[in-house]
Amino acid sequence: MGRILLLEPDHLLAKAYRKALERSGHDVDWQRTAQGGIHALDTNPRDLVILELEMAGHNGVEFLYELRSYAEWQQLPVVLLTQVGPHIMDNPVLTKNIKIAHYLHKPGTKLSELLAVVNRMVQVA
Amino acid sequence: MGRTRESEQKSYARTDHFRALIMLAEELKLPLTQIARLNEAAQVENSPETLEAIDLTAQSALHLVDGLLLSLRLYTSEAPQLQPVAVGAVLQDTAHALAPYAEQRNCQLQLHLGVKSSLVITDPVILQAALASLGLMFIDASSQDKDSSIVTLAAHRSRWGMVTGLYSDKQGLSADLYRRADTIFGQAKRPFSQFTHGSGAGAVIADALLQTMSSRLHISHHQKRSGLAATLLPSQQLHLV
Repeated sequence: MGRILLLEPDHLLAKAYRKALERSGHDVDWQRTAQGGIHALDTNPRDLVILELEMAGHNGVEFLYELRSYAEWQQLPVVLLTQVGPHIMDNPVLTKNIKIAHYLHKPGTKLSELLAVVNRMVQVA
Repeated sequence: MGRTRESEQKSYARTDHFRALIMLAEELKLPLTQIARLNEAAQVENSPETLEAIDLTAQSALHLVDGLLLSLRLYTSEAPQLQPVAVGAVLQDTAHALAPYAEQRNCQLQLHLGVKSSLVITDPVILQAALASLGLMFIDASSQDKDSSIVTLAAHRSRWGMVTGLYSDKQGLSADLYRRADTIFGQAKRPFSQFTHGSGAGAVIADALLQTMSSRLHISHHQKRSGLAATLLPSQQLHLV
């Protein structure tokens, strides 16, 4: 179905998300760090990014700024799947400068809900 | 008149523990989310591995809670049982307790004792709880970087005593980071953001436990790796060979 970059620092959660997405027919590239994500996109084009904002070192916001600085990635859909609460979407600096396709609050998002959002985004793309 | 030493200590302890409590609450969101997602996965996969992962995750979260509760009891009612203890034995017991968790996260645990005779004055229960709390944080942080990370439990002599702690092959720990983190514990969600995506509650809990024995965590370097350690007083008791 879709080629997905999963940027998730936690090993266990990444495993659960990746398996669910792959069972749904998606091709998943899992990276744990912002730098790893940028390098992966460089060599392995993706249709969608699933992103945790809270990462060690460079965080997800820094990743997004770098992502959108490249012309070829300005329209790449990004789904936030993050521990950070929904208040983040009220930040005008963030939402104005960085296009975010969808926000999901990680603790409350079931695998089935994630799949529904991803499947919908991939069909639209 | 004025505040007695005891009331000053209690006030200080409440502040430190309030910060530790906030950080523990932040830290617990991750294992609880892990358990929820793994449970969903287990319903589809029917995999013993996934069920074991749920159990280990729950155990690690409970350990952090127990560590904080122990430190609270030590501040309010109990006293450390200080005695000569072979620090190597405590490190081995800690490594044994952390091993399943490390394996789950593809993290290699190493043990390194830099000295032949390693008797220190400490409470072995408190020391092991502190090292295990710290170990949980280090293993989590290391697994966020790459596969096959290494966490080392080590003890080596310094001129001030026996430096006992954990070290990681992951970059990001420095004296500046720890100094800055110490000022924002309980105020920032991720005081160790350069090292781990978690709250670092394991380090705060370890520090609270060590303080009950008049010791504190500090940045340490061992065999080209950075880590967090406590300096323990060596025992003058003769070590019978």
